[in-house]
Amino acid sequence: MVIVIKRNPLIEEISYLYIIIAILALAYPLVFSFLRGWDTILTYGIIWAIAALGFNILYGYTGLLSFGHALFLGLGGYAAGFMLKYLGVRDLELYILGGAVASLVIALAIGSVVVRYTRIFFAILMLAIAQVFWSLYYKFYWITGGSDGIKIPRPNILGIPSGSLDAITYQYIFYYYSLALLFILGYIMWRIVNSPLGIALRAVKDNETRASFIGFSITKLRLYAFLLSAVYVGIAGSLLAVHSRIITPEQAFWTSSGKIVFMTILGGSGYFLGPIIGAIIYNFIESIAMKYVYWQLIMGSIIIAIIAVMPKGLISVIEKIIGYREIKIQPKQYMQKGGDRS
Amino acid sequence: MVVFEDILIRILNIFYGASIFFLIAVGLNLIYGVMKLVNLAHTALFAFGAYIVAGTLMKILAGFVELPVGFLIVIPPIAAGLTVLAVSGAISPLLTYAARKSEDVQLILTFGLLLIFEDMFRGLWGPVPVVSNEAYMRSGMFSLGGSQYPLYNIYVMIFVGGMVIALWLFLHKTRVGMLFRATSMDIEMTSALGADVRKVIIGAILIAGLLAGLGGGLYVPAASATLGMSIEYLVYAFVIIVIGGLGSFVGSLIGSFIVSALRTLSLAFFPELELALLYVVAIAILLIKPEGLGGGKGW
Repeated sequence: MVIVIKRNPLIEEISYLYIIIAILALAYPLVFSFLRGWDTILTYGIIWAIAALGFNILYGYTGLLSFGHALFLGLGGYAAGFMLKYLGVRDLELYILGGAVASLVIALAIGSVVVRYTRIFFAILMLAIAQVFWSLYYKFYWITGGSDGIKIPRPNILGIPSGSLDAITYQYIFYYYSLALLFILGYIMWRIVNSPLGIALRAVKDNETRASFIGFSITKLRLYAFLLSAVYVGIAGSLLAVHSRIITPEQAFWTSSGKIVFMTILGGSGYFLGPIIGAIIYNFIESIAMKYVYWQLIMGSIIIAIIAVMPKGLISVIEKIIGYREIKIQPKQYMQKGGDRS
Repeated sequence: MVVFEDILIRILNIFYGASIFFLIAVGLNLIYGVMKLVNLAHTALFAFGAYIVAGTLMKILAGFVELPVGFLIVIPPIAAGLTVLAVSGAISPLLTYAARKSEDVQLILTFGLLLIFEDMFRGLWGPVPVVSNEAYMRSGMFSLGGSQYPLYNIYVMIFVGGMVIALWLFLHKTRVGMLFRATSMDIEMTSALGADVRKVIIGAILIAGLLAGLGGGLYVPAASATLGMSIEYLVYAFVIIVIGGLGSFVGSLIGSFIVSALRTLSLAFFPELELALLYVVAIAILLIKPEGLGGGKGW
């Protein structure tokens, strides 16, 4: 007797992360020289990919849909902005660290409350809290600069003073810096989702009651996922502000939250790589759509079409091409002895 | 006596705000009740009503000479309500499709619908706010001691008050209303007893659309129709629902009053913290009474 198990290489093998990172690393010089203007979009794609990757540990793996993750994008961005404005910090590494810490602190404060709620209540609560922060950025303009925001000039990367680099070198360095970050954070995330913690999170998503019967603390697991996603999105927020050279309340607005949700769904929330692919493709679609006045209409129609036609996301197309791998297992002797009922 | 007048005007403002909120929230609750769908695009219907009145109907009516005020305050909102009823009828297949999906997919689908609506408004009525306050201005003021209060607001309160009573009577004293309540309590059992729940669902979508459009039409003469209005009111509507309880008639009423009161008071005393205060209250209620203040009482 032989048992055949179907395995999905896209979900279970990390080599596809390496492939994507390699493609992205090779693509940049080509995009830079042949598609002028799109190189910035690609950099945006990488940064949003970090955010979407963090979002998906909460949505795809733990099953909590947040409509307020722009909260952490804003915190990351304003952490960088405040460090520059009030402390005179000019180093990208410190911005990123500041963004991560600020997100972690706020996530700890609100997380223990919000993770008690699931489904629509969680989504509304997150939307609400994010909108509170957004309104505070607007209203306390003497601290935050209001709708004008805070301008962030080119920072020092890895200790290299920004003044010593010309614009093109800076863009290259910034791209590969972000890509390296995506790779490191992606690798860490991969290890986490395949660790006992990650499996426990999936158990919580699949069946909360059974997971708690096994002995998991549901709120604690949800809190871990929440904190993790907050840190990732916070880091992306800092990078985003640095890449845009400005932080405005717009980055913390609900539309940014919608964007994160959108790109994750677009790529496929059920796959580890879904958010990354979704983020990159989304940024290209968006910048094409934004050339038209009615880009929201286009985006809205696309989102409805994707849910209707490809509910598992764009990456499910790749899955169909690669297919499943069948692994044949020869059951061991002791299993055959007791369990042969045929 | 200035203090007394001040308080009276604030109370009137609270009632006025609550009237508008109620028309939005009750539709959202009705839809959630019968089809368990959280419709993020619902406030877009409210904005639609506002745009129809301010952007189209009043422009057409401006061509006629001196229409009586009574006409201006009654006909446009009702026309807007009926138009939005038709619009929500048109989107009802999408809503029933969404209702069959899981909750996160529902949110995403209706969010997509919201985006489409927002750009439709931009396409039909342009990006700048549309103002049309003729009905409001010509209704005049009445004096409260030394201060003035717009009569239009009083009219809106009376109109909505009538709607609240009519809706309550409909839900509690008619056979169709009973079907609505039964469906929101237990859709399978209602269906098993022989009621056509699909008709109830369509009916709920249409009524919710009518009320939202009416609300938009009543609201706009005293304000303006703007892009982003859907989101602004969506945020309020959610706080109302959280405070009042999801899927409850009484809850919509209580929630509307509390949100309107909080909003009026915070705008008067500490405008910076308006939204923050609303959410702090909403979060507190979620923590203390997750089913909402009107929750469990049903319709």
